[in-house]
Amino acid sequence: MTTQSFDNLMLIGRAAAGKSELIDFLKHLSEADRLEKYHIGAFEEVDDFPWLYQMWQDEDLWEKLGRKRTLATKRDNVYLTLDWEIYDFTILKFNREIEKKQKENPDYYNNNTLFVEYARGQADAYKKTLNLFEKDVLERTAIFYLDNTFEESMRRNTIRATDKDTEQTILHHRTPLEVMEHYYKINDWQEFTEKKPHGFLDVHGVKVPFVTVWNMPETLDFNELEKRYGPALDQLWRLYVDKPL
Amino acid sequence: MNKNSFDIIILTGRAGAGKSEFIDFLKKTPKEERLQKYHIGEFKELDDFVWIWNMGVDDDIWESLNKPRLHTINVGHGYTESHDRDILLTDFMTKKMNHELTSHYMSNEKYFEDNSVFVEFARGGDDCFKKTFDHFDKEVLERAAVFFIDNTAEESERRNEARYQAKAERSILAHKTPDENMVFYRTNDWNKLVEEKREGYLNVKGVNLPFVSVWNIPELTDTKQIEERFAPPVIKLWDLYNNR
Repeated sequence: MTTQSFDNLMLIGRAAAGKSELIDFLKHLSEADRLEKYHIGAFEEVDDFPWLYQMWQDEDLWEKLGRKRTLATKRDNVYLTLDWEIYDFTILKFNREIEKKQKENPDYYNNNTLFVEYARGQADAYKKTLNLFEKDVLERTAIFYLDNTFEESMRRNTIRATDKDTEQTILHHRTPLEVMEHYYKINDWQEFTEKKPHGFLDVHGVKVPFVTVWNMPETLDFNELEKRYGPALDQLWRLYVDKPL
Repeated sequence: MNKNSFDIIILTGRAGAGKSEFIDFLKKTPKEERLQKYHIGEFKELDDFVWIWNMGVDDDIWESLNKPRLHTINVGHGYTESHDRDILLTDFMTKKMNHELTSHYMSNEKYFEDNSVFVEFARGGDDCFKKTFDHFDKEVLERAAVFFIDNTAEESERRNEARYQAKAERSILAHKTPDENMVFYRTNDWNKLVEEKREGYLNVKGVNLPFVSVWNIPELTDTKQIEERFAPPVIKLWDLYNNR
């Protein structure tokens, strides 16, 4: 492999695990610096939250026209999921979007890393989800998992909802507390990775490299973040370039 | 009104009437010239064809999960809607365009200082345009002007197919308005609504909505001829818009 940068970098963890903070950290670096240090040059993000939010907002309009809601109900200005298969739907949509980028530009990965961002919960969260990705996608993917406790996720999620921010918006996408409790409280990441901090996951016969990063305590200190994320990205890169066939 | 550009231009007509060609003509006109001559500076487009197409692709995904399609029918070379539903997808799309205008553009007054928004859609059926205009909020209509591109049903069907064949030669991503939908576009209420006039005002919700109607046959490829066809009606529309 002669590539100098990741193709697909899957950025996952609980809701409010710190995914946006990592992206923000990377955006503060110059492209050249980022490429040299972390093997991420120019990058784009596909995140399923804006898709979900758009579909829920569309249901507001359908409801005004007289159609019943099927995907999410709306209470106190936040959306509560009705059809949980929407989380499988968005994974299949990732497959489509990734395929589209390559069709539109066959050289896409020469210059770009694509971040694929989502959060999942429940007992079969990541095993089920990763199995929904196409083999072609997984072959070009490395996984960066941000770990924290459920309590810390709840704390960060609550901070997103200030007094002024009583409405769920695309920018302040706090997750409703009921959804945090019901959906995100547990997941299967530790079981799926056999509690290893890094290694390979076998999905569809593909060895998908991963690292798990303990993302506590919360910090905005750039040097601290560099110490936290830098070695993990370095480890992930080594797994990515040396992965067994 | 002392600004020099349109706020909202509703660009409509049959599918395959030539709306994309008109946009292409504007994009090829240098910005300064476009603003000075046609009162259109930078502009964004809201096109419900794109939204319907994306919903169709999303419905393919739902179907692959053994779930019912939410909004569209896949007819192989594109997507259509079930016309026997209680609420039409096209009505939803009009509401969505209205929502986009009010929540993302009109909420930011600075945007309209020197920018315009094109709202593009095709409609068919007995009361299609009357019903569509009625879905827009009065506040939207007060800032809008209508550019209607007119042709025959036969010509729009011919163009739709020709455009698809030309794209299919170059890209596997080529798509077209399905033939099943083109049948639906054969009739509309435009001429009845405007009383066969080529320019003037439509009264919608008590608002005088300026319009021009441009006969877009035969299809042109020569840039000069395209300009001669589209420039006078755009200038006329500005006159109506600015003096309503």
